[in-house]
Amino acid sequence: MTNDLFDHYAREFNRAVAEPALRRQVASRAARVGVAVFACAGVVAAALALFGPRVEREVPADDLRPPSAISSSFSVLDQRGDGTGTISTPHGDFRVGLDDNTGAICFEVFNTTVSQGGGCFSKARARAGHGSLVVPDDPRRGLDKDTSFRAFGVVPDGVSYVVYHGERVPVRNNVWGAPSSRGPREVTIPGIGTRDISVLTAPKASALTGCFRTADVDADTSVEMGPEGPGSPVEICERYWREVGFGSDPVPESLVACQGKGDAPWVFPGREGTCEALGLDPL
Amino acid sequence: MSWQDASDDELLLAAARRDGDAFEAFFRRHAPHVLAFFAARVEDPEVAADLMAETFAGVVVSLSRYQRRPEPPTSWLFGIARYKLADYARRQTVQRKAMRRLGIERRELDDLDLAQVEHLSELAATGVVVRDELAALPATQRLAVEAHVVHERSYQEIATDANVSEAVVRQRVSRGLRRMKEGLRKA
Repeated sequence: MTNDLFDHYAREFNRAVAEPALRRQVASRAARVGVAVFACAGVVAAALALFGPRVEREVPADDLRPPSAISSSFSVLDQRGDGTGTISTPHGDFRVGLDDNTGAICFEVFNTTVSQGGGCFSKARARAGHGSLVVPDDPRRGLDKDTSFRAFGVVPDGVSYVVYHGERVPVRNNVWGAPSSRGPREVTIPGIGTRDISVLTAPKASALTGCFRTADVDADTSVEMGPEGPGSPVEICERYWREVGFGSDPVPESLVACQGKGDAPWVFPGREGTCEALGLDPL
Repeated sequence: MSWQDASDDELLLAAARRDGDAFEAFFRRHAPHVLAFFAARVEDPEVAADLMAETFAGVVVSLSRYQRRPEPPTSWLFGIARYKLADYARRQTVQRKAMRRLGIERRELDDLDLAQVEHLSELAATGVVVRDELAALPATQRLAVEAHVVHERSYQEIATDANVSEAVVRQRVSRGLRRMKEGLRKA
């Protein structure tokens, strides 16, 4: 291994983390940015509360039209302004990091040496409701071939609200959402995403697979693989468990694929009968 | 305290409390993967190394906000890496803002470093092909190859688990490897 290179930076980072003066400087800057962002968010939230539309009606499932251009189901972004955000997918949310310097927000689906998908949003675009995900189709080609796609679609006129932690919030941007099959009907908008919100997969995104941590539809999930990914849903999630996993959880002895929402396969730890027990059809 | 066996979460939380050793352990654990990530995507090894350093600098800058999350911290790490890559693709230059902010001294790569970055790049590229070939195997063969080659389990152990004879496991591994070799040749 390149010990000299890694040693050099290991020492540098050790010093940078431990050095109080630098840390104070960083914290101070972060605080200033945080205060500014918080203040802006507060003004926007207040404006929304006072002047935002209050068209509180549910979106009928039949009215929802998936946009033709969508090529993946990464779909909704929650930009909290606190340095983190959440990418909501049909199968769960991903917390993502915010870059201090530019305000861009990025995520990576797999944490191996090879990218399996991910992307970056600028804060402005995210807030405008149009995230652009950049997924190189050939890892060696880098990002020069732009395979960006729109992450959001449209909902018919008059849309409506989301339920976020029990509170109805008006939708300000066009998004592509769908009523949940369970619980209150919800759609999602940038800025207030939540894991309970249901978002349909795009027609071409059915290859995306939800890997669930436990045999529970509300368990932590990870969405894996783009349409180009090889393998069955169970194989995809087996790989996810082996290479990424959920914390220190051991790799389950067996996995089973069920028919999830929006034709997306959902894979749970379990055996024959697990899908039925969860109220789902086996695949 | 030795951070060798600590989880990524523990390391980052300790680093957020200014424990330089904890962050060093986090860096040493993941830096090769991050470097391979970049080396497989950019032509210039110097750029790959700079992007790696800038990525970890970005992590340090954001440490004060770090909190335990359900998903692996590496998702966050590679999210930052991906942003750095996208930024590089846009500007065609590595913005070393976070490094400058932290006062991290940039390292010029020597010949050994360059060779090793190239090596990581090749490994990463090979990994894509190998993994695809492995994934393309029939399930029984793939599981047998993984268990024996990747997890280094004995034929006997695998046979017991799968409730088949040892000969069957040997056959599955052998056929699976042969099939992967054919695939790799074509690739």
